[in-house]
Amino acid sequence: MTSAPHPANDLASRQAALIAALVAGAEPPAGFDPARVSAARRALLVKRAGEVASVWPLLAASFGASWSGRFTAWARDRAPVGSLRDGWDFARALDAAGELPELAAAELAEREARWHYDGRRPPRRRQLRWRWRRLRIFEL
Amino acid sequence: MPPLPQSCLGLGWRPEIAGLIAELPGLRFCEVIAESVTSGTPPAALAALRERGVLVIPHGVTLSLGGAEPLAPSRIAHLVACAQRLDAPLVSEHIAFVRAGGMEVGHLLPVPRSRESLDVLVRHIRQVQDCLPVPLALEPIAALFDWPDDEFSEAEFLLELLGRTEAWLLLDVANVYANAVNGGTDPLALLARLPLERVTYVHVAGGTERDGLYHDTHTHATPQEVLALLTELCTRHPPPAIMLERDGAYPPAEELYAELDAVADAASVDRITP
Amino acid sequence: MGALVSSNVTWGITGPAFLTGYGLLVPAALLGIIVARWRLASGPPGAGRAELSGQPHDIAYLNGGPELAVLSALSSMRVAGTIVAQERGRVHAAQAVGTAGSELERAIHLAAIVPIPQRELVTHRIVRTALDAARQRLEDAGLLLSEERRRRIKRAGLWMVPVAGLGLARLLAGAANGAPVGYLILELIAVGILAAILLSTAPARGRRGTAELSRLRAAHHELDPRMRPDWTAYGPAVAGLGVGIFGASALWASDPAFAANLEAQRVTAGMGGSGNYYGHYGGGDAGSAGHSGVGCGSGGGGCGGGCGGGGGG
Repeated sequence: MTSAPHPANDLASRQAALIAALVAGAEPPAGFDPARVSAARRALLVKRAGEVASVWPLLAASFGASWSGRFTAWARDRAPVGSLRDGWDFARALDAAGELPELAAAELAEREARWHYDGRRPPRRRQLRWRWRRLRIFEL
Repeated sequence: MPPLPQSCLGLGWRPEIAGLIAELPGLRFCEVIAESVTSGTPPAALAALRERGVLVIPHGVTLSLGGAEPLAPSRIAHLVACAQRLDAPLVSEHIAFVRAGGMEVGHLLPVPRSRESLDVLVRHIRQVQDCLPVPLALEPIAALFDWPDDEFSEAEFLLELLGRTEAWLLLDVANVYANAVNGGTDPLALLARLPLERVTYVHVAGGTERDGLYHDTHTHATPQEVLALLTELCTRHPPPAIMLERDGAYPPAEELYAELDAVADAASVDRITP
Repeated sequence: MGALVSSNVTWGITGPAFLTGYGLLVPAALLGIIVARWRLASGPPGAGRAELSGQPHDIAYLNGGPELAVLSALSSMRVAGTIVAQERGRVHAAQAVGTAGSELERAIHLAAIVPIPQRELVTHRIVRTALDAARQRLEDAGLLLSEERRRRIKRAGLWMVPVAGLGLARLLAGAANGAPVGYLILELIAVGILAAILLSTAPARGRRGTAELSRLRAAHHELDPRMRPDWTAYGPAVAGLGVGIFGASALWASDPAFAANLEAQRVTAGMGGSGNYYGHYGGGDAGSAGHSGVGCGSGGGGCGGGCGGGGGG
C-alpha cells in the first residue's frame, strides 16, 4: 500500500537468511555480529528443547537432565517445524538408531497409532478413533 | 486511552498457575497468550475471572507484524475472535517477526529499523487495526543483536511507528533494560526518549545474565535493576497498569506472591496478593 | 398385575398370559430393587460431610481406592522432597515428613526407609493402617459405603428370589401338565442372571461420595491435567489433591518423570500436545512465539472473510 512491492521481497529474503542462520545452521548474513547471532542461536535451541519437552513429556523425561543437551545436539542444524513434529522427528531418529528409551517408545507408538504423519506435512488425526478418545477425555 | 483500570498490577495468565492467579484478591486485569486459547470457548478458569470483572487482554505472539510476508488472515481472525469472546479492552502484539522463507523461528526476532521495514510494519498494523474491534498496543521486544542496516534509533523508530499507526505502546521495562545492557547504553537515557504518554500498560519480567549478555527469559525472578527502572518510569510518567510476566520454572506460590508484592512496591501501586 | 400375582396357584391362566404377566413382574421387581439400592447408597441420614478438601489423600481414596491414595501421597511427598524415586518403581524416604504431612505420608515414609517398590506400599502393614484410617473417615462421613451397608445393598437383591420361585413353580407345574415351557425357561435364566448380579455387587462409593467428587472436580478445574498444573508453584498438598481428584493422569501431566519412575498406570487422557485446549509456549528471551497455529477455520482473505461476525470462531 504505502511502499513499492519490490523492497519487501528484498526484506523477505534478508529475514529468511537471518532465520536460516539462527535455526538451520546457515552462516550469519553479512554485517551481523557473529557472536551475538550465535548467542541467540543457543538461546533459541534451549527454548526449543523446552517446548518440545512439553509436547513430548515422556520422551523428555526419559532423558532426565540430559534432555536439553541431547535434543539440541540433534536439532542444531534442523529448522524447526513446530514442537509436535520436532519431537516426532527426533523420536523417529532415535528409534531408527535403536536409542529410543522404552517410555519414549510408548509415547511415540501412541502418537503413531492416533495420527498419520508422513514426516513432511503436519500430522493428521486418524479420524474415527480420535473422536472416540476425545469423547472419553471429556467424560473424565 | 484504552479502558484499563488505573494504577493496578496484573499477572500474565498461564494455565499452569491458573489456581494461584484465581486466588489473587486484588487482581483487576491479566493477559492471556492469544495463541494458547483455542477457537472454542475460553477455558473455565478464564471465564471465571471474567465473571469476577477481571479484564483479560489477548496477547498475540505469532502474527509476525514485522515480517515481510503477508499476514495470515486466520491469525488476525483469531485475535479478533479472542477480543470478542473475552470482551477485551485491547489487544497487544509485538514489533517483531517470527517467520520467513517457510521457516518458523518460534521466537520474536528484531526487525531492521529501516524505512522499508517501517512501511511493512505500518501496513500490517493498519490491516490488523481495521479488523480489530478494540485498540491495538505494540510491544517492542528484547533483542540480542541489531541489524546492520538500522537507519533509526530505537526511540525514533518507535515514535515514527506509533505516529503513523496511532497504536498504543506496551512498554516492557525488562526489554528496555535488556536492550540497554546488551547494547552498552543507559536504560534511563532510552526511557527518557520513549513516548511515555502512549504507554497503555507495562510489562515486567525476570531474566538472567549469561556470558556477559542479559537474557530476558521470563523464567527467573525480576532483578533489582529492572525493578529500579520500573520505579524510575513510574516517577517520570506513571503508566496506567503494570503486569508481571512469568512463563515457566514457576517458583512456589509464596515466592511468586512476594515477587508480585515487590513489583507493586516498586511501582507504588496497591499489592494484589492474599 | 396385583391380581395376577395374588391369584396365586390357581393356575387358571393361559401360558401367554402368564408369560406376559411374569414379563411385567420382573422389571417391576427390578425397579423396586434399584430404588432400594439407590436409597441405601445415599448413606446414613445423619452423617455430615467431612472437611475433605484438607485431606487430599482421602479424596484420592474416595476416587480410586487405596492405590490412588498412595499415589496421591507420593505426589505430595515428591514435591515436599520427602521421597525420591529410584529405578524399577521403587521409592526411598528422603527428608523427614514435617507437620504438614499427613498420617499416610508419615506411614509411607516409614515404610520406605529401605527402598520399596511403590506397588507394595499399599499392602505394607504400616501403610495399611493409615489407609484403613482413611477408609474409616470416609465411611464415617457417609462418602464411602461401609461393609455393612454394602451387604444391605446386595441383600436388596433377595427380592428377586420369590420372583424366581414363582417362575420355577410355574415351570414345574407346567412341565407336569405337559405344557410348552421354552419361553419360561428363557425368562427364568434372565431372572437368575439378574439376581446373581444384584446379590453380588454393590458400589464402593455412596451417592454423597460421588456428588462430592463431582463438586471437587468443578471447584478445582484449575487442577485439570489438561492445564498441566505446576506442582512447584502449587505446593505438596495441591499436588496430592490434583491426583486425588483427577487420578493418575494428573501425575503424568505434571510430573512425567516421577510418574515414569513409579511405573504408575499410564493414562493417556489429557496428555500430549494436541489433545489439550492450550497450545504450547515456553518461556523465552523475548516473550515467545509458539507454533500452535490456532485459526478460526475460515481463513478467508482480509478481515471481511475472516471469522468476524458475532462471538467469532
